[in-house]
Amino acid sequence: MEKWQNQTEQQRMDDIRSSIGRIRLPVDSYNEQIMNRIEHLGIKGGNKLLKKTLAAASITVMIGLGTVAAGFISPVWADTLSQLPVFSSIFKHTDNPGLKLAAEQGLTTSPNMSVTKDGVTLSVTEVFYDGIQLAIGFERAGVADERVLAEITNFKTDEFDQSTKGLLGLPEVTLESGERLGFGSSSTGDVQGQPNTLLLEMRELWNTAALGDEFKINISVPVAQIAEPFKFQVTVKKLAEGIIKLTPGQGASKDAFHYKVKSLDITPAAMRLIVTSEGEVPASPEQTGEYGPTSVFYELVDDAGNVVTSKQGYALMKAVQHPIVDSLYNTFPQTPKTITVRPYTLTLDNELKLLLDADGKPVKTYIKELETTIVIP
Amino acid sequence: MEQGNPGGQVNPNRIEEAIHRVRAGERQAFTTLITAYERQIYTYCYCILRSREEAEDAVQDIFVKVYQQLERYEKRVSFSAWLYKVAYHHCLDQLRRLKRRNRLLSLYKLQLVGHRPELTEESPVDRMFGDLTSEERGLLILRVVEQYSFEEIALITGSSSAALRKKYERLRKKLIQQKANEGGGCTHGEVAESN
Repeated sequence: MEKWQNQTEQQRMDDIRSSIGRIRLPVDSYNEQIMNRIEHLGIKGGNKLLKKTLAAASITVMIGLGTVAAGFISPVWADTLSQLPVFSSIFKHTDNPGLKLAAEQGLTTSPNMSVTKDGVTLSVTEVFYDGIQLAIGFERAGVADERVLAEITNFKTDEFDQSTKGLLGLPEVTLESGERLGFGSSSTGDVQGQPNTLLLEMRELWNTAALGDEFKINISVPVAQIAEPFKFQVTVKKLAEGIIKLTPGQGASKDAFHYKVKSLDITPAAMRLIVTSEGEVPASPEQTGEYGPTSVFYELVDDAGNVVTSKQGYALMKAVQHPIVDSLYNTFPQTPKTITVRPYTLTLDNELKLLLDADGKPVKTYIKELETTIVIP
Repeated sequence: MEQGNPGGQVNPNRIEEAIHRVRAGERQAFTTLITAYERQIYTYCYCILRSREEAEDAVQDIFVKVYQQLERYEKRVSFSAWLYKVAYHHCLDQLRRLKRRNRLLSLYKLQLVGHRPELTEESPVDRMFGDLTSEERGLLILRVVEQYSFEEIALITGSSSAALRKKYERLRKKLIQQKANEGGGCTHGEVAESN
């Protein structure tokens, strides 16, 4: 009886293993989806997105760059411009309010350059640079597929899905020296409501002082099933007016924590704050035991009480001390007389989940002693 | 299934190397870990959650969580056991959430169940899972399919190994009874045993 019993059980367990073993993943792999999400975490966490240099020899198209201010377009020009499929419209459709505003106020430039290879035409239609961020608008023609950016299969090497001809890989931007243009964060993607367009935004640009008011960049865009990348050389002109650059050097301390506002740049499209700090992140009485503070964030408040927060993400670790925080902010409705820097932390629980209020928003713990007010001249 | 290698046939050196590389900042090395374990984790989630859509979401959430918490992984347990631990807790949370949602939307749930092609009456997995609890289904994967020891399962689930042994014994009897009910001809033997 026992032998028979064991045989039955053995058979049952084998059946189970075999049935469960037949369960397959509904897709080949979730590698891509997972890595995309991890990549996004990286951006949220404020990591640097570095782009690999693509080596490729190709024809460089060079056409002059002209600034076209919206109010000064002659009827002839307007007619010509209206024939350009998406003149001055890519930026207007982004969710970046500063870029939208810049496009509406005619602060962008239109290089109007095109390269055609193997039936696919790629144009650089719009550029904006204010010393903080560089945005480049592209338009593609000759491809039936409505997708513009291909799926990026490897964010480290910028490899992308080559299966559909005419889909674009990530554009690479280098300076004349061949050096990559450094940036803190970037986003590249199709523009919703604007078919066949692609927008590249590079923010918190590095070493902007060395770039000057005018500099050349080389843009190289790989395209699926076309051997050589599409290359453009564009002269970027920095926005000439409405830029305020301050190096206040002022800050505040609480316990062991001390910070200083190294610089505050205000342009018509964005604000950039660079803060240096040292010492342990201050924790409130509520942020002990199971709870702990995140790293310190810096909110900006103008003299009219308008508040802007940075797009800086948070690391999933308690009390991370960032010696340098370089963040971009949306602008205030008007140039303020003063800007108060209001440091705060969020609260993480033991599972590193953010403590939320009744509305599902993260609870902010302001550190009053750390506030400092900067006078805008 | 190879004996004595719970968690699969993955080369442990390759896994340790990938973990080391990810920790050193080489994010892309994480794909090695995904590729090595995604099917097992999907299977585990699918068996517990009994929904393809939910298992698909869960497997992605779990790997993102594992990436975020990789610093916490200590070599005391095998990486696969640690991975299952994250998956186990994630599925429990998911079930709790589902229960709440299902109470509120019971009508919607009925419709949803009707749209689960993997769980039709013909599916052998579905038949087998018919009267097992989610806890038993999880235990079944870890013990019968992955062949973890009770001590390892205790580490994964946070239960005591003695309690797990008892639960497994009940599960074993249930499974054999199921087989008998399917007409395996051993009903009498089972009755004799259970008496």
